[in-house]
This record gives sequence, C-alpha cells and structure tokens, in this order.
Amino acid sequence: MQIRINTDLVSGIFGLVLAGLFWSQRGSVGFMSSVFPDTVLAIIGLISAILVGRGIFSPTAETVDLTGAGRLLITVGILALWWVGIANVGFVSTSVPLFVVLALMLIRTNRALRWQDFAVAIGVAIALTYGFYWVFTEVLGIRPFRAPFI
Amino acid sequence: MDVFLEAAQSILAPHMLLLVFLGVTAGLFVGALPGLTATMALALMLPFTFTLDALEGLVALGAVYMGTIYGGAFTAILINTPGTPSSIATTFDGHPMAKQGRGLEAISIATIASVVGGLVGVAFLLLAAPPLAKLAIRFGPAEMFWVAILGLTLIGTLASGSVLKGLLGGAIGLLIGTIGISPIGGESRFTLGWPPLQGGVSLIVALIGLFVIPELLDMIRRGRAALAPPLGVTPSRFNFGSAARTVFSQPVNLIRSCGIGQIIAVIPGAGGSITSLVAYNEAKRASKSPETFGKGNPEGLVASESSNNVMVAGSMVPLLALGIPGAPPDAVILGVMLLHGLRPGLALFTESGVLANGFILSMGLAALMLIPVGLLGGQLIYRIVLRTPYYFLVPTILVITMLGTYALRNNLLDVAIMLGLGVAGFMLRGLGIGAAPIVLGLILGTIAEQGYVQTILGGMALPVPQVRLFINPLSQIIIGLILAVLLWSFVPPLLRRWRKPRGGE
Repeated sequence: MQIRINTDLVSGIFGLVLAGLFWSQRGSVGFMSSVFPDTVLAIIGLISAILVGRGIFSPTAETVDLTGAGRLLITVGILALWWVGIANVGFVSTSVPLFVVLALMLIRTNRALRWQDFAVAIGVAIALTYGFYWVFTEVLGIRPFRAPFI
Repeated sequence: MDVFLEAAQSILAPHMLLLVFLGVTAGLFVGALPGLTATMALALMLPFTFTLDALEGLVALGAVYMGTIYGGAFTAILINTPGTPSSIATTFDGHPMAKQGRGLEAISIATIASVVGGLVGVAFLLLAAPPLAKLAIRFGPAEMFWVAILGLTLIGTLASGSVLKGLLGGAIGLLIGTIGISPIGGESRFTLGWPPLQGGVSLIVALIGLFVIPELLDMIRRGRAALAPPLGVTPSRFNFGSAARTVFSQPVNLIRSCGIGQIIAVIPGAGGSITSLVAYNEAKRASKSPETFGKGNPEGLVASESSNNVMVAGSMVPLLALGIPGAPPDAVILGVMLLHGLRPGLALFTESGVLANGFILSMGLAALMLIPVGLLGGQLIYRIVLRTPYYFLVPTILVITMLGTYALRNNLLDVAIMLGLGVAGFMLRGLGIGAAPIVLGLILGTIAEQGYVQTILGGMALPVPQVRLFINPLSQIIIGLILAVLLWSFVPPLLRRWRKPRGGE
C-alpha cells in the first residue's frame, strides 16, 4: 500500500514538537550551559517554521510505501523484547529465540516454512550468537552483561 | 639524511613488516565491523604495545589506524553503513555501486584511492609538518565554531534532497549532542533528572542506531535482500588494473581531494568525517556530471576515500609538532608516546629522529600494505555478504550491533538509545531527513559548543558578545565559504524556478 504525504509539513511539525519538548526540559541551568542549546533550539524552530510554511503555501506530496508495515511493527516489538531480555535474562538465552523468530519471519516473506528451516535457523542462531558473545567477552575482554543467564 | 636512512632500515626489518601486516589486517576487520571505530581499535590494541619498544608500538598502532579507516569503507559500500565516521561520504556512491552489482569494483577503487591518500598524507607529514602546524595554531574558538558550522552546512546540502531538511537534521544532531553534562558549564541538560543520561549520547551509539537499524528495518520491510545487488543483477567481475585506471584517470580529483584532506587534517579536532564530506562536495561541484553523484559515480568514491586516508597521517602533523591530537584516535597514539617518555615537538625530531621518521615511514608502508591485504580481505568480505542469505544476515548484524554498542561503555542504556534512535532514524528517513546530517551534528556539537561559548565569553565586554564570532579575518573567510555553499545550494533551484514560467510563455 502507498500513501501520499506532505513531508515538508510533517517534518516541520516534527521539528517544532521536538524543539518544544526540549525547550520544556531546559530547567534552570546557567548561561554557559544554556546559551548553545538555546541557540540550537531557536534554529530548529526557525527551520521548522519555514518547512511548515512551505508545506502549507507550496505543498508537494511524496509517495510513502507502506508495504511490510506489519513486519516492521513486529520487528520493533522484537527489538524492545531483545533489550528487555538481555537486561533481565541473558544475552545468548534471549538472542537465540529472537534470532530464530526474526529469521523465520523473513524466510516466510518469500516462501512457506519447512521443518528444516526451523532446524537450520536454531543451529545458525546458537552458533553465531554464542560465537560473537565468546569473541566479545573472552577475546576482546568486554565485561559480560549482568543477567541471571549467559 | 642519515637519520632518515636509519629510520627506513629499521622499519624494513622482518619483524616490523610483520607488525605492519598484522596491524593493517586487524584494523581492516575491526573497521569493517559497524560501531568499532579507529579510536576503539587503537584503544583495544594499546595493552598489546606495552611489551613492545616505543617504535614497535607506534608502528603497530599506526598500521591499525590506517587499516581501520580503510576498513570502514567496506561496510559503507556493502551495507550502506559507515564502519567509521570517516566513511560517511563513501556510502553516497559506494553503496549505489554495490546495488548495481559493482561492489567489488567499488572496493577496488576505494582501496587504490586509500593507498594514494595514505601515501600523500605521509609525504605531507614528512615535508610540511612545521609550516602547517603554524597555520593550525591560528584556529581559535571562533574559527573552530565556524569550521563545525561549515561541516554541517556541507552535509546539509549534500546528503539530503532538501537543503532545509538537511540543515534540520544537522541541528537535531547538535541538539542530541547537548544531552548530558555541558562541556563548559558542567551542568546536566535534558537528562530528565535521570543520572545515567548524564554521560550523553555516545557518537558511536548514534552512528550505529541511525545508520544500521534503519537499513535493517528497510530490508525487513521490503522482504528481500537490500545489502547485495537486487535479484537479476549479476555481480560484475573487476580487476585491480581496471580499478587503478579508473582512479588515475581522475588526477585533478585525486590532487584536489588529497589537498583538502591535508588542509582539514591539520585543524585539531576536525577529523576525517568533515574531510571526506568537503572533498566529496568539491568533487561533485567540479564534475562534468554532478547529477550522477549519489547514484554510483566512482569520482565521489575516489574523493571520499583518498581524502579520509590523507587524514590518517595528516592529522599527525599537529600531534607530532605540537602534541595536539588532530583526530580522536591520535590521542591514543599520544598516550603511547607519553608512556614511553617521548614528548611531541621539535625535540622529538631532533633527539629521537630515527623513531619519529621511522613511525612516519611505517605509515607509508601500512598504506602500501592496504593493496594486498585490502584486495584479498575485500573479496572475502564481499563474498561473505553476498552469499549469506539475508534472513540470517539481518539478525546476525543485529547481534553484532547490540554487542558492539554494549561494549563501548558496558552500558545497556546505550543499547536502548541505539535502538530508539534507529527506529526514529527510519521514520525520519521516510520524511527526507537523512542520518548523515544528524550524525555529523552530533560529531561537531562539542566542537561547535566549545567554540561558541568560549568566543562569547571572550566577547562579554562587547555590547553584543556574539559579535566576537565575526570579527577575526580567518572566521570571515570561513563564513564566506559557508555563504558560498548556501548560495550554491539555494540559488540554482530558484533560478530554474524563475526561468520556467518565462520559458513557457
């Protein structure tokens, strides 16, 4: 599915909202700490206002392709789960099942799943996830994640 | 001359050649991993140099540095993800070439351009260190602020279809850079009262999030491989001779890009990301076919890769002459020098001439070593990327990026920021706001802020302190350049629009 949106207008509104959010969080900091971010916020506000103006008075619509939006939403959910999992369960124990889910979802976009796909995906997920984890923790000496499992 | 010959003799010893080979190889593979930068590679290598003598340690680190900057081009070309910030401009034409099945050609061209750039940088370092160091020291806070703004203006006009959206992206990057402790006032800003955010948003975290995650989301959305050439496109065969002919058929582009690389490299803190963007812009401006830039034009690739490799040796000019790191990785090299009791400056060349010249020459050797190591390693990495099914490649890259992001500061918050910025970057890309201006804004944020605040503090006696930003002659020259870039971007489209109705009459 494709939709047409006025990207100038949306970008301008996004910039204004972002500048407003940051402006509301300025707090009470001194001149030296506030002069630069205040200037940047003013510049963002100015550029965004010009974009909004252009979007209203000289509108041009651009086509945005929404194909695969469902898969995208699932992926964003997987990414959130991944982060929660590595913080609370463990890196390998979280990454292996989510790696498998992601791989199977991608295979399924092209063809029907076969039982071999499950076996191969699980094998690849274990080998790659544990392999990279081992390299980072044992070879490069990165301190492992603090979680109950690896 | 005796010192020079003695230095050459010492670095041609078999164990030195082996060190250079190992350093370049390690650097290439580290640079090819998104998120692992030259600074990180050098920092990881640092403990290994403790057992080496001063020259051996410096030679090894110099080779790693050269290999890492070059290795960043691999991911820039193959998966549109700059392995290091210096390779941002390499993505513009390198990745379109890979998508057209010309990935190996792009890698070969990048290799030869990098070698030329590396050798030119070494030659400059040997011959021109003292006079260029004198020029660099004239850059005060106001000039540094304007250099940062020049970089942002360039990326804003280059990397996006709309100049306004490019500039908005750059300003968003500057804003993200202000999160955390202020570099001058020392107060917390935009942390929502949450102490973990006081460390700010790491550049590498943003780099991974804004470049890698949107690319992966795009592949997932489209449901087919976007990394490799599209279905039906056969990867072209390419050889070293053809790549060399392509590179050397553009002598003006090469000379200009190397010159730009060298001039910017001696400005402390400016770094390779600006270097390659400026060189890319100038190549596009001077090209007979500027409309093909961003669509797989080798001229853009040559400009980016030759200029960022000039920077490796070029940024050593202020380091060796003044003790000021020209780029962040140079700080690690400065650490090794201090560790071995070496003080940068004139004394380094007079009292430790063999060591100083040996180190410089070894970087030339490392540049030459890029040819065998790079072409073989390049083919290997290219084949791995092409032959791995994308449904395994996507989760594998996710695993590496998560580990790489966490490894930066052993901080899980960085992983969350990386993922959040990635999703936001994907949506902003849909609106026409690219990742490159945001990341460059983040890179230049600290330089710009320090320059801005220090200049204003210096101008507090004036009725309007900001006037201090405009009164130095060098600042005025840079402001002139910024205005020229903006005019160059805004005026031609306005003229076209103005002429259109007249043509229709």
